[in-house]
Amino acid sequence: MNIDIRVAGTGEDLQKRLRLASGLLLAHKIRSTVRDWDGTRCDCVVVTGDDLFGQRVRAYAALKQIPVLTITRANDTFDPATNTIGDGAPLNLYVRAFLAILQAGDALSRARAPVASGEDRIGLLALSRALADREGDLLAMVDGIEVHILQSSGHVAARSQQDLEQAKDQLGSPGWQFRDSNGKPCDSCYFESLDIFMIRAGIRYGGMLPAFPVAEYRLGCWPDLGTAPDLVDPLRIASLVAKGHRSLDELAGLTGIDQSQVSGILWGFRAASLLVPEGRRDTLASRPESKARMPYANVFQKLASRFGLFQKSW
Amino acid sequence: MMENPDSAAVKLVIAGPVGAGKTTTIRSLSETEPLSTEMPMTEAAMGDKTTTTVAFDFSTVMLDEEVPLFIYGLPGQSRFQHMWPIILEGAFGVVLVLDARDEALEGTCQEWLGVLDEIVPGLPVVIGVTKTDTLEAPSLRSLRSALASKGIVLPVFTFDARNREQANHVIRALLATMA
Repeated sequence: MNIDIRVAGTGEDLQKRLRLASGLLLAHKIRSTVRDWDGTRCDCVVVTGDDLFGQRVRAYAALKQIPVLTITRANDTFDPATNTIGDGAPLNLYVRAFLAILQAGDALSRARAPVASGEDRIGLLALSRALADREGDLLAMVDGIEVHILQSSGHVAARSQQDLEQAKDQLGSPGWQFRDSNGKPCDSCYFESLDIFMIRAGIRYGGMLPAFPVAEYRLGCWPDLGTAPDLVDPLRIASLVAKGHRSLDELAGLTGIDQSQVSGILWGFRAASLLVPEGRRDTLASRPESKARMPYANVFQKLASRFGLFQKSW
Repeated sequence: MMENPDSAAVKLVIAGPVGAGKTTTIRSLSETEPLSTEMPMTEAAMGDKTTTTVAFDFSTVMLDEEVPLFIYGLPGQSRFQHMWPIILEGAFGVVLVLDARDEALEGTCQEWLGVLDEIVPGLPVVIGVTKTDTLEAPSLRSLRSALASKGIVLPVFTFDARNREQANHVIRALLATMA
């Protein structure tokens, strides 16, 4: 869990001090980030009490029950009764102020909640597990960023492309939290394909992930990679899994793709809900025996070469 | 797969309903301007579509100096159904192009898969869904569910038929099913 501190109307020097104080919170085992206020929910907003903008943000935050730390020029002390601190107060007072404000809310207990250990420290794995056996949509949160995992439509959505990019950067890190998502994620959300989002994450963090237990799964759906023509290796892996190949060694050997990358791609498949447990009984239609004229092996090679089936994805 | 023989022509078919984007897909796949039999539509136009293919589209892509890939488009209108078995004869696979805006997308898809299986049982098929850019949040969910309920596991791609790389990627998916 990360404490999300926002600042409104403060000058650059003060922001630097706030960032330093935020860093000092680590001594209390609290990770925090300091970012500009954008009107959305956070754990604490820091405003300057001496200007109109700061006063307006304070009023709005009070309305939304967001804790506020007010900076004044009056003195260099911290007043816990009013959550007011002087702009020249020493850093340790800022730390104390943050601790007092966070303690008053429930943010601190959430921040100190034990982070999942071991493999779940990797965001993609934690996300993959949170999505397992879940039909509905999920709200995933990290470092003050919210990403809606919309299994119902096959998308991920965030308030901005920047949020989505930051979320991707965090998929190899711990600190993700999840809860059920309901309704429309946000107005004018930025959308991406769930399959592509997860598979790219799997490729990126494949080396950090444990070996995927491929024998336990089969392909339920092919990934939709139509708008990602650079992703060729996931196609080849999907093809082999669909044909019943069930070991990482075999998949890596047949494709010439590094085993950790194969495993990463499969973790991506799982997080995108493209795999189903092997034991699950679904009706599998047996397509009629093909009466199509299959290309001769040398012709198939030419087709594969012409359309780049064996090109490297990355 | 068998080895060698003479370098027989290789045939790929682009199928799907009227207005889904078959001709555009063929144009994107082709190195040269395809032979097209598009004519102005006499019935009510479909959005921006003012022409339709009255026989079939045809194009070639050279796989190397000797071996051409013949790409045929199936005319979407049912009155040309008598031509479908002729065009599908000898094809190694089909790209079924569907329009994301089709309110009966799942039904249309299953109908086409049924027809294709009837003409050439077991013919490798990949589904390409076009025009998703016209929808706020296009989703393959219901189409996937409909296919899964029938136990059908096929590549289903959303793609922009005007984009050569994306059209090529759909063919890659088809080839991947056969590799």
